[in-house]
Amino acid sequence: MGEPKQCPHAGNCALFPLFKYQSLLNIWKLEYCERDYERCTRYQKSLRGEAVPDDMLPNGETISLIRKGNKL
Amino acid sequence: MNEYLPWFAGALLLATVGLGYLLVTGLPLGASGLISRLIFWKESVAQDRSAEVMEEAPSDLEKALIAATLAQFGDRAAQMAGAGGQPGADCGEVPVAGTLRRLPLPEIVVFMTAVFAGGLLSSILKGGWSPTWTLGPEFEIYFGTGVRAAGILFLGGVLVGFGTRMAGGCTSGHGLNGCARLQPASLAATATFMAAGVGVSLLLKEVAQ
Repeated sequence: MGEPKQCPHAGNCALFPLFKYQSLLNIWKLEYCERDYERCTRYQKSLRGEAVPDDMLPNGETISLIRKGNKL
Repeated sequence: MNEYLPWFAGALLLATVGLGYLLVTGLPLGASGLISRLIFWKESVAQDRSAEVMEEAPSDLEKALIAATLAQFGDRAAQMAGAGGQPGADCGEVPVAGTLRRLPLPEIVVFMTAVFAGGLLSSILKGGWSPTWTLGPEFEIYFGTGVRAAGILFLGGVLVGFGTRMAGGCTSGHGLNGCARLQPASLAATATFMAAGVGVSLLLKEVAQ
């Protein structure tokens, strides 16, 4: 079995460093950045040439909305 | 007939511009990316705002991210993190968007204005400038004049824009900066558009003769 293939946009992704260094967030990296990066909303938007908000999660939700929902 | 600078002077000037831009802004120069940010300015403003929000409150961001992770993956996230993987325990300060500096929109306007002003100044210093609709005798030999020439010019612009977006950069981003940094994608993109440019030029010359 070879090394998992990493998303080619990881080097320019605002969230990838967070997923990489925080163990609880590591699942995003495994599920999206390595396992199936083509389903990542950030990757898809980037391929379409659209601006990718830094606070948009791979599943398409934005962190700011989550913050409001959790009253942080 | 246009008079061009010697190749080495052009190379030195372009290297100076590329390095100067990097030193001043801390970012590699890429004209098409800057133009794209200007055209889609609303999205660019939202993008900058989201980056600001993330940088303003890193601890809130961490809490929000953990909440989002648990909402999306449930217990699997904690299981994968391992028994010792307490939220936040292994990261110290959250590394937020540190690698994603973008040139602010006002500075892009300054850059574009400077590009236009530099071209104008160069024309004036060269011996005068006057507005013209012609694109030079060589263009007219190959493409004629009037609506046909304008249509071909428009089509060429569309193709250049399409190729630039598809390749993720243009002659400045890929050709100047990417090649200088030996980026494989930039080397491939530059080789492709140079080969296409030379090929089309030779083909047009054959057709015109």
